Amino acid sequence: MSIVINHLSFAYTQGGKKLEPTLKDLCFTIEEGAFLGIIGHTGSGKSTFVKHLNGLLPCEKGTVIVDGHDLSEKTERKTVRALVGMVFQYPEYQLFAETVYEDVSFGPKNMKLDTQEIDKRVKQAMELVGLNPDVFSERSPFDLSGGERRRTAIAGVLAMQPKYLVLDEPMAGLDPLGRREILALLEKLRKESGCTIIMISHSMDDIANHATKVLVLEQGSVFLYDTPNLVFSHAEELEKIGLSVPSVTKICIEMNRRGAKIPASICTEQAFLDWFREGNAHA
Amino acid sequence: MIQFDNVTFQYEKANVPALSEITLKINQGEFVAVVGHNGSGKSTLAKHINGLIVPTSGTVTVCGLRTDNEDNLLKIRQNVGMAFQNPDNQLVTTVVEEDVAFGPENLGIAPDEIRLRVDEALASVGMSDYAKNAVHHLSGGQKQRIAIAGILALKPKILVLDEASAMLDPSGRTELLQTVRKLHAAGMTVIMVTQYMEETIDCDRIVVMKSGRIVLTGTPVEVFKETDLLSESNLVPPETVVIRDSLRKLGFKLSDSVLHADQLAEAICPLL
Amino acid sequence: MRDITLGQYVAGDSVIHKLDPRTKIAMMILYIVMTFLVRQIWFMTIPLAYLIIELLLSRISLRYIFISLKPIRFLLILMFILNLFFTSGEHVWLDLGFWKLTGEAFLQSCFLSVRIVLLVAGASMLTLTTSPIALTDGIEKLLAPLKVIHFPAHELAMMMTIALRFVPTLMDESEKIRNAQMSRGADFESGNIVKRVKSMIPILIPLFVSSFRKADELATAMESRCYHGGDGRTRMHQLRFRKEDLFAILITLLFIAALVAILIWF
Repeated sequence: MSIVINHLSFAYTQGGKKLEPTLKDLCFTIEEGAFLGIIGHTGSGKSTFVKHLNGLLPCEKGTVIVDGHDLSEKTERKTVRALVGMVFQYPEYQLFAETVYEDVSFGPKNMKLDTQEIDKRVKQAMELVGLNPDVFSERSPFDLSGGERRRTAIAGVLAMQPKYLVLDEPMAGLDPLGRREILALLEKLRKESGCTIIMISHSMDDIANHATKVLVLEQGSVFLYDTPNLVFSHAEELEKIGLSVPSVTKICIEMNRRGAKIPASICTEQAFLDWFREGNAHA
Repeated sequence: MIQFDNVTFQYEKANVPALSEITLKINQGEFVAVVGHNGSGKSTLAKHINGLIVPTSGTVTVCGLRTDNEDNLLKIRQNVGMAFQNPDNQLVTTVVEEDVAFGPENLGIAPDEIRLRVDEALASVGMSDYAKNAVHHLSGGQKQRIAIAGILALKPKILVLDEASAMLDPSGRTELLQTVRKLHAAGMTVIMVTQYMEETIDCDRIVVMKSGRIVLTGTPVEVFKETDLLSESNLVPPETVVIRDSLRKLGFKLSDSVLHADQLAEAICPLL
Repeated sequence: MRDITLGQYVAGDSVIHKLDPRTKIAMMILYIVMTFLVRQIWFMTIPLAYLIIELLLSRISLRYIFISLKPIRFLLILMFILNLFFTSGEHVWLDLGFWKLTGEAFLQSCFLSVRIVLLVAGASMLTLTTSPIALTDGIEKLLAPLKVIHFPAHELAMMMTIALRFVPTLMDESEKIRNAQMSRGADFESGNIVKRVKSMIPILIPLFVSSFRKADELATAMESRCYHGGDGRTRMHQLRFRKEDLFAILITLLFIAALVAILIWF
């Protein structure tokens, strides 16, 4: 199964007038099990696009079909919202309940699951994000540290056991340790439960290291949609539209400028070091 | 210019001090970065500089004035401008120029003089064209530049950035950093609290904090070679430095002063 | 909705726009007095003439006046109909047995509707030509004499300023929280009133928490920027009472005098 986006366009309305379209004729498929990284500078339509994946914004033109459910049908939205989990920027700002347990159970409760199933899911989700249910269940979400609050909010989405998890800059504002924890969690989810990850990020290093596919949006259109190494080999075009490239790519460009012949497709530290190990250079 | 003498600070409800026995001297014209994990006390340290927080024990002296004397506070805050993390929560009024004027208005400066200062401040952050705009229509990076203009209008000698780039996107962060570098080049003393090690590469000095203590200070070259100490403090050096170290493990002889991508390329190409 | 901080303000540089906000507040109060002095519909032409002159001078499109009247259109219709029913008179136009439509009732309905339209339009002229900030300044200055009896004029104005600044921010925020909770399956659209109010809790609590955080951070930022209350504070934009202001007030008073004269005459 997959998410199929077919000729999707969208324009916001302001004061009764349609503005310039934010999304223009998007056409592509997100395969199940992928780790899709979405990049583009502020205002390129990233956030607007992901709001179409669970029907928060209506499909005005074109269709979004999630596992066969057409989001143009209003009745399908509820089904799809259980399939597609959404973690917005600074998700800790959505916490509202008195205890962590209660907050995490909000989603499953809205899905009208029975109490036993809810309990099972809440505990599972809390363990997944590294919050021991015995310690954290009864604590107030407002007494936690920043990183713990972020993980509580993510657990609240994971407890719905979505097949697709959409995250809008999930690492924003976290320190290096917090960032690593979230990335490790995403990798674990993908490997263990086959969850498809769709992540908006400004960190090209994270995208290069984790994504299996990269979508580059520019002024509401698909600029590039390919594997990270192929996307980042277009370094010059990316820089032209105001995006940066992974640190490794930057080093490779500087090296090639000085006469080295490193393939443009190298964009991760691993691949970079492997190139050296394969006997292309002798220390 | 700024002197921390054996400063310890404990929040009222906390069991452990947020800062322990901090002694630190920052000279005029220096560009100092303060780094550390979440909860390492770096923001608490920043808030001591303009007397928002006063030490539980020890003293902080800024431009010769002690922060624990209430009468000094207004004088200190004129000299120490402070920008915070959330660009939205530090702008007071709806229109850009009105907000920039807020500080000088508090000091009771004559209207004509305020007008001059506002225009000057907006020009030095490159936002003159936005003087009459509504604040909430600006991007995050622009809001932070307005916040800095509001500080400059007070004519401070010291600029403290308390994770001011944390909520910005990469282009906003670049905008902010360029503005700060320009101010530093014009003689401003800058203290920048940040989580992004990439931002510290061009500083004069980095102060590394862990659990309320200073564990390391030195130039970027000196600090980034202490890989073990950094990882104990839950910090990661800039990606280029990480790659430099991995290359060293492969046997390449690369000097500690290699910090930027172009420097790394320059050093490694002759070895190929 | 994001532009709510600018209220209905339509930027411009007409004579009216340039008047001191205090003058404009005074003009509006005098104008209200004028409409209430009138007891007969025909004399409403005087405040109407005043309004038209002000509108022409301000170069504001009539469209904006209609927009400001839009929210009260149902109230107007309701009032008009109720007055037809409850005003008694002698000139019967239509007799349905249980109810008589009289000429007096019709006139009374028209009179009250015109008065409300004129009142709302006049008040809109103030907000259309004065930015909320200028308005706040004006109110602060007008209330300043009350400081003697410890009335917090500066604090009140500062609160209005901050409220204006944060309305759009909080609206954005509530939209974000709403989206997040909807993604977690929250339903804000179905059920009875009690259920709907209850379903708002997951939006309201985070919004409260965030407002408190904002207030706290803003207070810190203001303190860092040397804010220490209204004492000894100056303003970059000085309110200046110029001869144009005097002129505007005199004209308004002239209108009132003319109206009073006519009322006494007839």
